[in-house]
Amino acid sequence: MLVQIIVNGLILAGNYALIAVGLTLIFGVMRMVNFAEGQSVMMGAFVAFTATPFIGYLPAIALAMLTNAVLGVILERTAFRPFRGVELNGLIASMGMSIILINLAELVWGTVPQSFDTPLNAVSFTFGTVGVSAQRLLVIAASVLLLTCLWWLVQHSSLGRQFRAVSEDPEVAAAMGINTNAVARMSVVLGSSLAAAAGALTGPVNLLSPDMGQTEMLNAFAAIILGGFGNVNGTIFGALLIGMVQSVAAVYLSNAYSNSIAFGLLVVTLIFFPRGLVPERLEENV
Amino acid sequence: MSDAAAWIVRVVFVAFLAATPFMVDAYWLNMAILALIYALVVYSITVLTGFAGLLSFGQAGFVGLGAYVYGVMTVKGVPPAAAAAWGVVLPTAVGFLLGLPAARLRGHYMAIGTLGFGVLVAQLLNNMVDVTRGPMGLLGIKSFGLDRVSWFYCVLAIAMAVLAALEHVDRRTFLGVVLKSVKYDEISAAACGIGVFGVKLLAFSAAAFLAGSCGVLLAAYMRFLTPDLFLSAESFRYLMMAVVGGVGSATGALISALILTGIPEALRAFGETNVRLLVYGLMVLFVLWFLPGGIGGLLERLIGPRRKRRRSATAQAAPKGDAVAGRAS
Repeated sequence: MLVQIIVNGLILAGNYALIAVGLTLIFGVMRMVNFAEGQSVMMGAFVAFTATPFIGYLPAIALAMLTNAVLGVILERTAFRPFRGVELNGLIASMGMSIILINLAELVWGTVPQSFDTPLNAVSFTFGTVGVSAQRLLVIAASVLLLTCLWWLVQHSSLGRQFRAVSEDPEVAAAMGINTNAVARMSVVLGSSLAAAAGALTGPVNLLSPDMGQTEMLNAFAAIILGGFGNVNGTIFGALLIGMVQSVAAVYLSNAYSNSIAFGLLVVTLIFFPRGLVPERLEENV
Repeated sequence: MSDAAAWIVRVVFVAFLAATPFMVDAYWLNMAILALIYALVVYSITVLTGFAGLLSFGQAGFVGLGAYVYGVMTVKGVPPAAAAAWGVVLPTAVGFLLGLPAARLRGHYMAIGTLGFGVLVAQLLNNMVDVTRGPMGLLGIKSFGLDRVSWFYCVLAIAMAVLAALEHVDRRTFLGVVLKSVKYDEISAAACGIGVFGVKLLAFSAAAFLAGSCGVLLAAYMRFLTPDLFLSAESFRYLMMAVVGGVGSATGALISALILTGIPEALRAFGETNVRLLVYGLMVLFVLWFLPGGIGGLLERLIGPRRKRRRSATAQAAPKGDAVAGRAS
């Protein structure tokens, strides 16, 4: 039971963290909330689903991430660049893009939920008395790997320094010769491909349907708020917390209320900590 | 355009709306009634975001609360008028209570906090099967016994009355100035002796009142409710209507509610649901690209007097204290 809870919690946490970190990155750089992130998750899952029979599962994840990188470029051009400084319009524009993406997906893949079977679903490892499928372990391992890569990118690469500079002060960053538009585009590209990875990884654990990303995105928001907007490390912590709480609650309380529990936790946290558990510190944004 | 001309435009607009039952069939009249009911919740966003600069992603929660309070009470045998009163009072009270913590939150924190409230209400409606009948839907809601045309004139009168009240508060009262001062610069407002927290609470309660009324009307008109009508996606749809209408313009909110409810239906010419919703999404994007001030902004430019035009220019500069601008959070 305990192993089951921990594994399920880590899967949820990994999924939320991948989505939330992308959202946080975009928010940090552009001060905009990407409401199409859930649909990036969905697109990633479906691209991987379609490609798996031809090129195998692992290359299909890479392909989904690449496809979503292109989607990120499109999103930045249509929903973010035109609305710099008018954040609310950008938010609604990204909602508009999410309507377009959902309906595009329904046209291509239909509305009936589909199950996504990979060879890894059949292999399982035993811990004590419980068996855990290789797919589930892959979700956890790949989330950790991707998040570590992102951490390295943000902390130690030139691009990461540009991210941090722009999120701290876009004008000064631009004056120092940083191409803020390119940095903003990269943030959406990264956010979108991380979401694709989240979708492609957890797709085989759940069912695929064109409206699948929505709930994950809401939970990712909860994680971001708990961790402090624009703070990557805090966001990962928030995702862990939400994932674990949901996993415990699904076993001991009720599955039907699992989202209520995440958001109940969020509302209670906001009452006592109005700026999140890890308060936003301007110099550490992104 | 002069004031007189602007008045002529208004009268023609109202007359045009009032003539709707004579111009369209029952199907479109039904859509018009729904659109006018939805206008109330879009007004609630006008008050909250447009006037006070607060952001709520949970308005569908209040609509659902109002609708289900009215629905469940009439099913249990409470007379419709009393049930309607409860259906308005309860969401207002909940809005006040939610405002106590939410009004302390800034920008996006407030948005996501209220989103949490919306998700909670939707899940409660879905899971409290013994009260709400959950996903099976609530049947047997009593109503006021009006026919469709009377319904249309009732909701039109309500929508126009609220519109007039909001325009009055916005343009002619001290409260309007107070709300705007909180929106544009909280610190300066507080320094001028304005009780910022109280003003925010008032905006929250007023918005919950409007959204709750929308819910009551929706329940009384449709006489059938399912929790699906009040999911977070609906909150986002209302927000979309508000932004396309140009947040802060009540007239824009009304027109936008009419257009955005009507267009998906008009697009049935495209056949398949997905194609028409795709076109709908594209249209929203186009409005945002080419009319950043929304329908309200367009109206200001076309029929607004010069004095107002200048104000709209400052309104679009999105100053620092704007809770919508994330920098402040």
